[in-house]
Amino acid sequence: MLAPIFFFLAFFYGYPTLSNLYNSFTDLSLLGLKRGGEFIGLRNYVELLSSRDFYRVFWNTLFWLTAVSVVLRLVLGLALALLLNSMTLRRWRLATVSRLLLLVPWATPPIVAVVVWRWLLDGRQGFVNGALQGLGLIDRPIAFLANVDVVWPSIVTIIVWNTLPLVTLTFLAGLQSVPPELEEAAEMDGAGAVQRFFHVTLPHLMPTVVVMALLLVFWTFNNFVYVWLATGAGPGLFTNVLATEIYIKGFIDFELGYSSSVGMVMAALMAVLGLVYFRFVALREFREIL
Amino acid sequence: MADLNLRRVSKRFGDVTAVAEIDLEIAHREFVVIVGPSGCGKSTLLRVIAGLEELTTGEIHVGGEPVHRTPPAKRGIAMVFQNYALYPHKTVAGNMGFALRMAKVPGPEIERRVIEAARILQIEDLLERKPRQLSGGQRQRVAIGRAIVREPKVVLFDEPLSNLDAALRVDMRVELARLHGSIDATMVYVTHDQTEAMTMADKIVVLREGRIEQVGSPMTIYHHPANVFVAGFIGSPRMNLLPGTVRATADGAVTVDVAGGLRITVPAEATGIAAGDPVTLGVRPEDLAIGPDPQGTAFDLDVYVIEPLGGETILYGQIGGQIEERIEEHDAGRLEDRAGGARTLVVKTQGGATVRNRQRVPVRVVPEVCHLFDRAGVALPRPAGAGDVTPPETEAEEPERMQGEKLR
Amino acid sequence: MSRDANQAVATPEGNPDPQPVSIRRNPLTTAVILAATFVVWTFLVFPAVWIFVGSFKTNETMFSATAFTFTLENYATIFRVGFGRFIFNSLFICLVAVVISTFVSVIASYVFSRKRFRRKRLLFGAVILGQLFPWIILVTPLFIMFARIGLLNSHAGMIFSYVAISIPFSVYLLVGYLETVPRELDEAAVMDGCSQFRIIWTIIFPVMLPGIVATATYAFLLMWTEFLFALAFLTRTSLKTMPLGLAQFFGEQSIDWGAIMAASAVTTLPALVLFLPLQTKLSAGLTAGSVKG
Repeated sequence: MLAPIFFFLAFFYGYPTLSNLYNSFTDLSLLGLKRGGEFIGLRNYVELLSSRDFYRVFWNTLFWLTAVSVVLRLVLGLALALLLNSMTLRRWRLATVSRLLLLVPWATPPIVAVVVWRWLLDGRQGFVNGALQGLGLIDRPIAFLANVDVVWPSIVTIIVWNTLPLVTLTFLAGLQSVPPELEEAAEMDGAGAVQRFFHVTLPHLMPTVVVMALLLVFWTFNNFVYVWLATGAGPGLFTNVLATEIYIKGFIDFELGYSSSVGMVMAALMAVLGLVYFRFVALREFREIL
Repeated sequence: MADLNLRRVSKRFGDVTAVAEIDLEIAHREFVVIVGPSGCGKSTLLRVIAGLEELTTGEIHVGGEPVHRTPPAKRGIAMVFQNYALYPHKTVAGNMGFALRMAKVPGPEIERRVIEAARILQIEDLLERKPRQLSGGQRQRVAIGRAIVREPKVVLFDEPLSNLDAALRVDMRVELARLHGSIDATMVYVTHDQTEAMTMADKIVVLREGRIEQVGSPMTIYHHPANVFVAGFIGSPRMNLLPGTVRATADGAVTVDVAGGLRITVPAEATGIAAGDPVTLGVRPEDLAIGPDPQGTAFDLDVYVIEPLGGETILYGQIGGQIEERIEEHDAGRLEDRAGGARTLVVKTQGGATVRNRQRVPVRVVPEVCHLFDRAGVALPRPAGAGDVTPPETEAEEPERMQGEKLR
Repeated sequence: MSRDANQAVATPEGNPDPQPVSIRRNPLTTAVILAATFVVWTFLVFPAVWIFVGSFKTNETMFSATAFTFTLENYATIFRVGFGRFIFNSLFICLVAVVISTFVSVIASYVFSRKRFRRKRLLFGAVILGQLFPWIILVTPLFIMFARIGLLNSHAGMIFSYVAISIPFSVYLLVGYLETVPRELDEAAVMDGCSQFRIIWTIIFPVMLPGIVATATYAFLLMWTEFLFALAFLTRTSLKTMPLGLAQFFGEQSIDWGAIMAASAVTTLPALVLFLPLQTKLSAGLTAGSVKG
């Protein structure tokens, strides 16, 4: 009964991964697929690890693409969840409306999200430039997605806009699962709102935060679409990340062998994180059946 | 005939033995209650009988036919689940008739039998409803209806009343007893509630850690508990269990010293017991009485809690007086969870008792109602009839008790 | 979608009654909270609203915040250049893939949830870790594999890929839903004489239908918005999916913003409609275990 899914998994994930591993030891080229690649041992890896470009790509992926956007989403997501859960919004009957509006960015396909932000951030006539100039904050339009000073914050903004709702709604569900008696008990014990947050709410929410953080890291670190569509890894290769590097090396420079070795480095990192996730999240969640 | 026989039935999950070599004979139309603390393997045993778990070793026979390799639906066994397990998307009638449909019983016949079962359970008005439109008690009835509509030889109940509130539970208990009288099926009922066991069972099976501790009628279990565990498990409040030391043995009598300097001679057969041996003296709270004893077998009790329940009053106290140094806390490991240590005594008296808190009162002990357990917690046999309310029945059940003891 | 069949899935609407009412109502705090809410709303909704507004604007007024000339020309443009074909391709690929993926995932999740067997931990781990797999590293080897067996530029190749990417998510979500269905229900069915297959399709399937619908919807959205594999495996215009068609409007020299906005609106609308009923189930489901634990 498990055969059908493992048919798909084996041919989609299993075989290609092994094939990728093999290719990473060859000089396979996109132009010479029929001929196949020559076995060159670890040369791809040596080249990769001695390349300064690779370290820049790695840093871009790790810091800008992943760390900044994940931390930002966790912090903003928590703040927003608290806002949506606040008595004030409920009293003003705004909580439900807010939650519905949260769906809008989430339901927007990533490609559309990038498109609309490219339009908003357009370097000549974009709305953001217009607004900033109208407010007198800047003199000349800024090419947000072509200027090395602001291109990363711009990409991060797009990612945050598109995926913050998921984080927020998850945290909101977590907040609302805090037993009211716990809050009441803390209030009876003389804890103020801030103390209640740190002693009751946050500890209760912590597992959710950790899981969310892990998932976000996976989804972002591996992501190709945002950077590729927003800047095409540019200006130049300034915003190149591992995912775009694999694509560029393989499909534009035709160096499939080298591209595969970059993929293996990425896969190794993900495998380590994946095991952490499996051990501490999945095993706990599904302990009933495992 | 639908007698149910288990022969050396075991169930292991990996290294864990949930059910260990159970032998059990259940007669046609008997109502057997399997009782024990949580984790004793009683539910597993039931599921093994049902066929939901495959047994590791042993044999199961229904009406003389081996069924332990037969699929569950073909064993002639029905089961009532703790959480009812009604199919939420089917009507009551659909739920009750489902097994018959699976067995390809013709439609009109299904309808007839569903209506018949509904009539017995008084749920005829509910047949077109969905489970979520029913109350807990009604769902319970539907679950029972689903089981009996198949006209099974054996009906299994897995703690069926535990999701009901207290009042409803009492009603359903009566209902089940009535049902047992009106259908031609053997019933095996699992519970951790000793009241359900005492009130409904023809025969009680006390289970602990996957093994049978004792099998017998409710009265046998109550009056002749085979060991300290059964003595403590059946009866409410629990039997008082006091450590003591054997002073002397005679034919059919054992003299014991217990806390508070009390010396008491209990009618019991002193097999394997000699002076100086540690023993446990058991006496039920309801067998104790307030008041001095002419023969001097009375404790001085310093009462610290009084629970008036109206019709009766329960006293909690410390046994006063000198503690005899020679009474050692012996290795009766089975006593470890007893609250309050060796000197606590619980007494159940009539509601009108005028004892005040912090008062010292004499508590009379009648030797005939006392139980003695040896170092290993096994009961010393009492002379037949001792302390019994209904001696004839007890005698009739005696062989089964012996069987239970042998199994340990 | 009825809620009572999935009570175990926490829904934010679950406790509508106000929590302990705070006695202090500082007007300043209230004002700050309301202002923050308004800012957040703007940030969240403005870009999406402008997709729809922009799609009805002429290119001359496209970048103006105030000027607005209504036109349907943008929609006419995209259908003239063959966007209808992309819509059909996307619908066809995604619907077929969703049906296949849901079918095999329901069976697999039943097995994972209810059966004891050797190496279960390993197999289940392999399935759900598929969720976290970096797709990008599959692109090259799959490209080579597809090239060899003739699946490049084919709907079959895309359907295969989309079934494969949605299986890990679907199994993960479905096993989670199945855990909220009492085991006694299928045991009762065993006692009633159901076969394995019957239990799945006559008992489990109807009971967890809301969960299955949610899972299938989620899988559909995943495929509907997928870009990477489509980009790599589909180069023939007549086979392309909507995300690819949309990206195509970014020409080398000029960008037809009106057409892009219209295409974006057409791509987003189905997703938005599907999302509304789904949101609470998903947000609670994704990390449900951590809250339970």
